[in-house]
Amino acid sequence: MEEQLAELAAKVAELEAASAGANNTIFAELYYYLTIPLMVIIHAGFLAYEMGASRQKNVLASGIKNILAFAFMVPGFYFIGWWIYWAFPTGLSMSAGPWGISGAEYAAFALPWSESMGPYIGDNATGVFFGAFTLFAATTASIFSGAVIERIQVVGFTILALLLGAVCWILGAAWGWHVDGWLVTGFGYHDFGAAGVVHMVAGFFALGVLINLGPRIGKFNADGSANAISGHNLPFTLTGLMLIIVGFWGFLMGCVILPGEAWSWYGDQWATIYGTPMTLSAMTFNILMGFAGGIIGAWMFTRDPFWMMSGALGGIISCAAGLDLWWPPTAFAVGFVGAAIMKPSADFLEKMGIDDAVGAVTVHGTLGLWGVLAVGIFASGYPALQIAEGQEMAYISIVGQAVGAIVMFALGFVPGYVLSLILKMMGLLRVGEGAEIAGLDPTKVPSIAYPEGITQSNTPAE
Amino acid sequence: MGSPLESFDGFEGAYYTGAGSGEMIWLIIAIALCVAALVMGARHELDAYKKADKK
Repeated sequence: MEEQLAELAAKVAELEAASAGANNTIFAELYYYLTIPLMVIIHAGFLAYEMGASRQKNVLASGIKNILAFAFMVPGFYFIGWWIYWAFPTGLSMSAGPWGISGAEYAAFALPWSESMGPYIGDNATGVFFGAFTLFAATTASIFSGAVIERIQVVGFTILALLLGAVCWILGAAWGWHVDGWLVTGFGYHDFGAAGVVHMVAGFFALGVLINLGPRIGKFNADGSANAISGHNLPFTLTGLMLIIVGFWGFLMGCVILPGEAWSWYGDQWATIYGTPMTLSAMTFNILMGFAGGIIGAWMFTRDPFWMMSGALGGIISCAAGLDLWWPPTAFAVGFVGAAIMKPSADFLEKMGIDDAVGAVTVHGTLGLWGVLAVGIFASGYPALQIAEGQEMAYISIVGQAVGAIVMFALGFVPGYVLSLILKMMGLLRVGEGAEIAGLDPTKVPSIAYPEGITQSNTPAE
Repeated sequence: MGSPLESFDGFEGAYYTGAGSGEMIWLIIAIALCVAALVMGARHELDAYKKADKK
């Protein structure tokens, strides 16, 4: 009898091991086939969005800038970003957190010369997980990219994008988007869909840069009033925004820990990055409701298709931090309110002399802030994480969300402001006046966007 | 450099080119290529802006 029981136990263990292996394969393949390609679509969207928002004389230069940010982010994140995420969750001390999946010792696997950072028989997951995080990093760069079109130097921009994507946001992610992150364990910070760690950091990084970069020539009149500088192709911009929405399904799936994968807490339950249970159903309900609330709210307040599609994105960003928790009608209202905030926020920035060409500070910074605070206002009291043995539980609260928001703002704004100031002093931030007036395409791009059509810009500043 | 193994039979572990011997060299080369691309890009760009300012 005992022998038979031992045999049975061995068989069960064997089956469990096989099942875990199968789940790991499914996880790796899901990320490989779905999450990462969908996140690449985000970049197709940002490319179209940004080029459409540029005047004809700058359209290819804007495209080059956007493509380069993506390309440089990949090695940049490989060299340092991936390691930062695992090394710094508990703060700058690089000590291990309660779950032991953080700190200098644990993060050694993510060092760029580690054997795990290349083809390794028996490890299907590390590369695809790295890939998803790299695409998050590239998304931060694309968010920042649109704000500064038509007057930033491409190399200066690339250096700034590398700081944002390979250092700033991922430090925010280590602190507030990791089960050992000090904002999570200490303050119960909850940011399921990265409203703070991606959108706020990128949006306010852009604000820091815009202050030093200055407005485009012709944007403001001598009396301080602003002129509208229309992009050359609004339909292209709208299509780009819709592509970003498509890609967001992959982006948000990248925020989910699948059951049975190497990092998962459960064999049969989807989880947030904090180890709290969630469902794909919740995410689907709330992405769609936030999306709809954002469009309808923007239509009600602006009647403008640009803001309506920005509202779609803004509605999702407003709901992102609590996508795992919202009652869907609440998600709709949170998205709606986010859309209502957009135009006043953009107008306020313009009054302050900030020329944000695509509204990136508003859509990602301001609405990311709203999204983080909304969780504190409407979802306080939930357990914020899966605790390790002996660890004290932290709960979602308005104070924790406010602390997180302050940290995310600082992680974006301060480095953006300081590095752009340094680049400005080195003459690497803004293009020359002659180039800006003539257009960046004829100045430095060896191709023509529309060799056979579309009329030229009316005036140098228009 | 080259292959780190003589047979795949029963092999488990890192199998990329130069595993265990050449990582640091290629890492430095990759970083240097990025830096070189940025330096040359900045030169091209600043020259272009100077020419545009002279027009």
